[in-house]
Amino acid sequence: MVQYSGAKNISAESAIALFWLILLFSAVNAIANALHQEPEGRKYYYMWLAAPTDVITAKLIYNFLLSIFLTLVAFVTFAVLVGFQLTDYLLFITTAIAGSCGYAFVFTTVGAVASGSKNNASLLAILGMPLVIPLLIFISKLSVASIETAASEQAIQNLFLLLAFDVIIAALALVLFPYLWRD
Amino acid sequence: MINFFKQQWWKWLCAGLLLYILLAGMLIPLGPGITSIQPFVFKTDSVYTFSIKGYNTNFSANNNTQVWFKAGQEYFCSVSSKVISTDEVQVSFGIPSAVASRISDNNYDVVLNNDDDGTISLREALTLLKGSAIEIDSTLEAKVTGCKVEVNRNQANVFAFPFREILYESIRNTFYHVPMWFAMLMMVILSSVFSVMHLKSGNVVHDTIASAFVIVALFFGAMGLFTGMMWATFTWGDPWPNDPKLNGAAVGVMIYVAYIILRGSITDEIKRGRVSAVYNIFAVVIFILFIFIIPRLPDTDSLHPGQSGNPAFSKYDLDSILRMVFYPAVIAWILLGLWFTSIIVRIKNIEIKNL
Repeated sequence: MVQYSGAKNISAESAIALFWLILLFSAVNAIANALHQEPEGRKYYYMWLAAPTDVITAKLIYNFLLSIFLTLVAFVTFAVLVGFQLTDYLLFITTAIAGSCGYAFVFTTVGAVASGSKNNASLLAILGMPLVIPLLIFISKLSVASIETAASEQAIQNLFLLLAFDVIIAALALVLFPYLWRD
Repeated sequence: MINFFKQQWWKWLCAGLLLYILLAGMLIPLGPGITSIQPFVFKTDSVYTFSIKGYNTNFSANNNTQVWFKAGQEYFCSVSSKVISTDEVQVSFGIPSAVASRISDNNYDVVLNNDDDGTISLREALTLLKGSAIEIDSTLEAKVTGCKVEVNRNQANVFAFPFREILYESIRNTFYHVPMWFAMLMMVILSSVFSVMHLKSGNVVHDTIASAFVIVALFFGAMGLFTGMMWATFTWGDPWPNDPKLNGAAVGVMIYVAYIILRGSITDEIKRGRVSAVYNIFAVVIFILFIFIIPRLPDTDSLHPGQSGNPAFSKYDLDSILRMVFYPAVIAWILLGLWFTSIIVRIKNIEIKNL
């Protein structure tokens, strides 16, 4: 960050790519920490207290809010220190919300899968990275669209695909989590 | 599925089909075609002598070998042509400046026609440079445009694979590279079906079959990447051009490598079965997204056949003789995948019994 803000002539595309990379790694770490901090006993307590779909819904919402918060902090910091050169702020902010929602959903679900093993922090990254790549494809297309022009039909279609991806991941999490829960 | 694995008939069918595609794929010759023309640039108003080289052709003075040149929608005759050998023709041709100025395209296709090879052509073979040549032939216009053009587009009467520019003999890779992905997709889908069954029933056998299918799918994925890289080196000149389908396939393979890592990191058998089944269902959804949705997005360009990344085969790409080998190849590689899976399942069952 320091190096890039020192070199003033960083292109708009690489600035946004940097932004999404920072966001990806902070989301992975934040969600991994949230999973790690949960003591073993509390899991059984939740199991006794609530239905598995309620637990996973709560986890999805919590991680969604966490990554929205991270996105906001990163957006403000980045806008001050590096600066965005955007033409369509609304499209970019919608992308940021939908994208961080996708990060949160993918890593919550993968985290639930990885929590079955011993070293779940590194497993979370190994399992999550390939799954997050379609998300990155949509995000990079939408970010380039928000630099170049005002929202085109193509960009709106990509935005809907991104939202559809979020919905699919959330639906899979809701359907599959009860099976992970049965210990 | 276990009962199907125990039967013998489909293994014989698989071996027979594999033998058939190996023999047919290698022994059926490539059809006739034009590989090159020398020189490939020329100027207006003068007659040039071009040497056309063919591949698997039967040029002869007795079978009516004729050469035309095509620019835009217009055909031009050659001034004279002489057959040198069965795969070389020398042809004299030029273009008058009056004619050249009314055609916007400076690239000329070569079209060759005879009774044995049918109509064969080389697209954009010649390039017209601006300006006239030094020796000017004033009778050229009458010679080139005054004749009757008879391009009847007849088919070659030989039993052969189609000759395609860029692909040439490597068209035989169609029976290996493409069915590898079909087989991988089939293995992945069957694996996810068994994962669903495992979650429903809790039966360890279903989990064993699902994981065996993933191992075989990874094998086919690796083979698909490997054959694809060889093909890309030959046709596109680069083993790994930045193509959305290549990157999608690589990520698809990575997802299933992560599945193997996940299985390796859990020691408890019941937990491993359940967790990996959940991940497998998750993975197949993303995999299908990669294979079917992302390459078809309208702003994705791919080098693969079918424009704008549409991976489907068009009528143009696959002719009837290719189909005769291609469809058995798809069935054969899928059956081979099932065969591999049945062996891996048997090995795993023996390991479980010995524990």
